[in-house]
Amino acid sequence: MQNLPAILLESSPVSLNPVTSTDLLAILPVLILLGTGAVVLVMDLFQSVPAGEGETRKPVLHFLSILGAVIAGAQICGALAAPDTGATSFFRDALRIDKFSLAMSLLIVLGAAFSLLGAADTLRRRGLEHGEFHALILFSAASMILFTQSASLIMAFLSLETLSMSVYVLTAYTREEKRSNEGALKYFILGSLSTGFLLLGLVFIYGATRSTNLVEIEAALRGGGANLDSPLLLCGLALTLIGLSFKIGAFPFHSWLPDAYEGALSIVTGFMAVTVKVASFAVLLRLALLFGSTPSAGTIGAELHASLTAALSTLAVLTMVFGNVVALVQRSLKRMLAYSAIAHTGYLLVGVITAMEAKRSGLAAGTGAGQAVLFYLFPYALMTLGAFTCMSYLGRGTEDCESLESYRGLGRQQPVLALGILLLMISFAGIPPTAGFWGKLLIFRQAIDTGHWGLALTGIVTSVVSVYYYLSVVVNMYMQPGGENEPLSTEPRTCGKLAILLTVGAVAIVGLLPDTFFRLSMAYSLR
Amino acid sequence: MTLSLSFCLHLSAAIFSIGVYGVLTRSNLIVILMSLEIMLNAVNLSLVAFGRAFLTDLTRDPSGPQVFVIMVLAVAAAEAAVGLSILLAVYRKWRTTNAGEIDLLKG
Amino acid sequence: MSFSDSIFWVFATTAVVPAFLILFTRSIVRMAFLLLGSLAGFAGLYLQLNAAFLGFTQVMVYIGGILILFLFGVMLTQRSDIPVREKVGPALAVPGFFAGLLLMAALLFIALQNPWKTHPPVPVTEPDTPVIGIKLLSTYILPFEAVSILLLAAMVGATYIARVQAPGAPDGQAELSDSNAEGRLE
Repeated sequence: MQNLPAILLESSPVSLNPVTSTDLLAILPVLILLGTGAVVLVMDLFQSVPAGEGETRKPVLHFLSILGAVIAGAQICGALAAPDTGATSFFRDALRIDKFSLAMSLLIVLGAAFSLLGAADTLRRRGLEHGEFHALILFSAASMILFTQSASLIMAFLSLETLSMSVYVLTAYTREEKRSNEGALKYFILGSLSTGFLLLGLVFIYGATRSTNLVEIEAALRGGGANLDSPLLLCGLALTLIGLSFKIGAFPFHSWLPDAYEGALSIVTGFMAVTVKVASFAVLLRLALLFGSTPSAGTIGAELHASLTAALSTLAVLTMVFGNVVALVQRSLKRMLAYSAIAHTGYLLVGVITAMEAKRSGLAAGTGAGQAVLFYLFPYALMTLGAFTCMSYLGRGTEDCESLESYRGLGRQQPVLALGILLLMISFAGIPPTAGFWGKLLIFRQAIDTGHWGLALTGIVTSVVSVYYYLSVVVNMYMQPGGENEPLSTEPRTCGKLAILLTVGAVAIVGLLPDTFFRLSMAYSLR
Repeated sequence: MTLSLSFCLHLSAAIFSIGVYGVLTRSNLIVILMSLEIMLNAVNLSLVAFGRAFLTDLTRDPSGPQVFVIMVLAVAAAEAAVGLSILLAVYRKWRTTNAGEIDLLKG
Repeated sequence: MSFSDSIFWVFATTAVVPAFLILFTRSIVRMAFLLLGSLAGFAGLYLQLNAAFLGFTQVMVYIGGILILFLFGVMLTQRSDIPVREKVGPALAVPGFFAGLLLMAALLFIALQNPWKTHPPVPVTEPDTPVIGIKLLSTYILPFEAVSILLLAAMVGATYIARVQAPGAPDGQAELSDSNAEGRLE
């Protein structure tokens, strides 16, 4: 041991306990989620399955996993309610926790909790109650929280991969179905391709800034030092952006999304539509603000800002137009919602661009950047969860009922379910005074304020187009006579009813009280 | 000097492009998985090359890139396992590993 | 050309040429062995680049683990009635070629642009394996632990998907649902 390199001697007390209790307390929600996942996996072994029956009953799994998610959510709420002390680093700068990342984590846990609540009926009906489902949802939620809070490129890459692996498997969860296999396969191949691009991008960023730590990268940018290599940094950023665009499903990188959404169980689709998007946008926003809005000594800051704005604007316009236009011609509700999810990615990208502008032109005291994204994501998450939970009841046995025509007469047959879908579709379309409307209003308003007239105009025109396809669902449910075939549907049981009621109710509350939620998103925005 | 950073980046770029080409054009799923692994290897090479070039920069932690590579190795192993299990599930239902024949989902 | 330079060239060739040949090979088993050559070349390059630990890890993880996994995959999925050969899908061959070419041009451009092309080579120092070990358990403790979550999730998921059918389900149920799915989709 005498001839160890100097680096060891410098940081000589290679501290015997590298993890302190404050570190562990900071990631308590993550630990709760992981622990619950592990316990559920073990509990599954002791659940007896009545052989030869289509339906299974393992209430313990649902109860335990929902309980874990609720406790983790309560923990995050507690941290959110505590007085703001700014961003704090944990685990030797691997994580950086602030109000913004906590708010995003809360959305992720919310998504996991509602998916687990809504999944109980589907899994039972289709005989798919395995501990793996709950464990993977909880594991991926835990890694998504780590992803939103990560402050080093290594941690971000690892947690992104963990969440991706879990979501690939969840897409393939109905392993006996061809469509599910195919969706998962396409998702996996294109997702792994994007991982390659993202990783190369991160490595180039490391090569240009000589650090994997976001705080040190910011310092390097501020200094504008001689070490910074702008073509390498630009190329790295471009590759990272391509990688993240795959994950959020922005236009030229969206091709996996409709297939994966259609192939997966409706509940899983809702889960990944919400949580993967929330986590990826949290990191995209953070990186965009870091690279696009940091004032630097040299010209590199202006150069990065210009290129990032141009790239994100192009992505946003293409995504909004493509998503909405292709959604118009879809015959299957699930595919239509998938393309509309692409369209919503476009609106959120506009929010990221305005946040960059706001941060760059200097924030007023007490405000932050990105409140539009936060304010949009909260109701969007609830709407998507509610819509896909409702969809999971449309179908009988293992069959889905997905084409728009098959919804005819649903308003008579399942009034509660139809009313829920009606409210959610109106909110998706952004008709005032719903939650979806306020979110869009704030994003387009900020786009106009920061001078992005083109983006705002594209957004408004495409949202008007989107009203057509959202309302055609409602027209089919209420105003078309049910044909000779009654719509296939299943009555939601207690868990499902609760999930639908809570999501629809929360969307209605956000729509009626936008001021409260605007103030909250202001308080939790990125400093 | 052949051992320069620039040379390693050239090498890495060439191999990465081979991997991307393989993923985009090959129809056999196992070959696609192999191409994905080639891509990750190419990235690892540039990471190690950067790490070596920055050894002289005493303000930075020299073992950072190597730790990063170890993490990427773990990710590559996990990716291969999940990818092959999805491949097996697909093969069980479709009786093929040709990506061109797997085309139920359209629109 | 010095001795270490020529060794480096040998490893570089070993890494690139098999990877390139994979693009022109039709037999999948041959591809797996070409991949082995390429991965071994990478291991040699790591040894040359002051990363001895990574070189050996590369051999153990990739050649000893992942490649074997691929060979199992080949054996499990190739039917005897279809020769183990494949064609390039015509739909993506041309765009794929141009995408690869464009990407390569962009990356080469970046590599040429960077200011270290005259960077002096670093003298070969002692192996830094102890440093990596200590760093993994101090500075990088959280990523190190996060890898275990990744591997656990991948393991649970992979075993779930690859398992044939749910325990307790009667035989033939898989076939039944298979035919159902086909009937519905047609």
